[in-house]
Amino acid sequence: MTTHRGLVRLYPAAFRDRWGPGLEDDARAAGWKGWPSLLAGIADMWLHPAIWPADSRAQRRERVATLGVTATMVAVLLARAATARGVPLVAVPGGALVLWPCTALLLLGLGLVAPLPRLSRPAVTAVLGRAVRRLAGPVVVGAAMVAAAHRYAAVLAGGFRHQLMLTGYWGLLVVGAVQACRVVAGLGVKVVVAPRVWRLRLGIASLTAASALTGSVALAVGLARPQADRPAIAAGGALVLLAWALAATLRDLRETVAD
Amino acid sequence: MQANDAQTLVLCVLADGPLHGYAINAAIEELVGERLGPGSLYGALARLEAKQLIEPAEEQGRQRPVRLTPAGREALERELRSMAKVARAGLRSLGANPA
Repeated sequence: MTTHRGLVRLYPAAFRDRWGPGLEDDARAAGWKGWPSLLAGIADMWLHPAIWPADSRAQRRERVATLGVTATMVAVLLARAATARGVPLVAVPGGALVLWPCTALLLLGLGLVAPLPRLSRPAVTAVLGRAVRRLAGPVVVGAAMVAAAHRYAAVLAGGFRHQLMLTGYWGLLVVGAVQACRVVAGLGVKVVVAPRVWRLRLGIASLTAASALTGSVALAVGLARPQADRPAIAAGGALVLLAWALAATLRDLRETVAD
Repeated sequence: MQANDAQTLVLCVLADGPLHGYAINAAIEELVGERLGPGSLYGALARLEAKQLIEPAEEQGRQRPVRLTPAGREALERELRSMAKVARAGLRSLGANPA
């Protein structure tokens, strides 16, 4: 496979189906000089699902809903990463004042963007079945890890076993987040009702505010400590970038989707 | 949008009639002297189609030409008038002939 063809395959499938052949021809003609533009285009498309070619506006709204759920999972993981070392953000002076509203905004956003199953037996069964298939594994492994941590606390307290447990914990969080996103991705308009535009706007705005606030607190706390807390700074910066990407989705919604 | 904005350039060259991706880029090169990168061009096409400013025209083999919609024509005219107004004002301030 040539490099330009490999790069084109990194675009979302809906985009490739519509523009793939033409893009491939142009990429071949541009040669290696076109690679940076292709890479930027790939990132651009994955960050803007509202503009992917779609059969209907409902499909666009469903994709934005999936983006909202994914952003929530990413925000939770980053907020957890920000406290991986040192003091929990909520314990720093004034932290509770900001972080509880952040949690509320995150939950509000998730509630607003989450697509709801249609009120029919086949639709509810399909959603529940998919949730069980995708999440049962991480839940069982997580329960086993918690049980092992309690049962063998002394054995796992330090050294190699502790590192192994910690790596397993983070791996499990990431897998769980990916699987939760896969539960809602591509369910289809026959199974779920895509949120209305006002719900999406409010939900994405709420997630944007939550990410920006949490990221700012994590950055401030990470930089203020006597020895800079690198995980908190990196996670805070990533949360601010997430807020920027979500703000761009608000613009996409205004320009492309209307009730 | 701005004069060198990829979306404005695409709308501009489509004003003459339907074109496919490669021909759009060739027309842009003729207009401004350089081609858009493939990612920029197809990103602009996807955005314009999502905003319903362009639509598919009849397919020609692998090529999928696009054309302006009436909304696209209106948006382009609005944008070009706005640019012309700014250009005239700027040239007047510089003491240059806005013709």
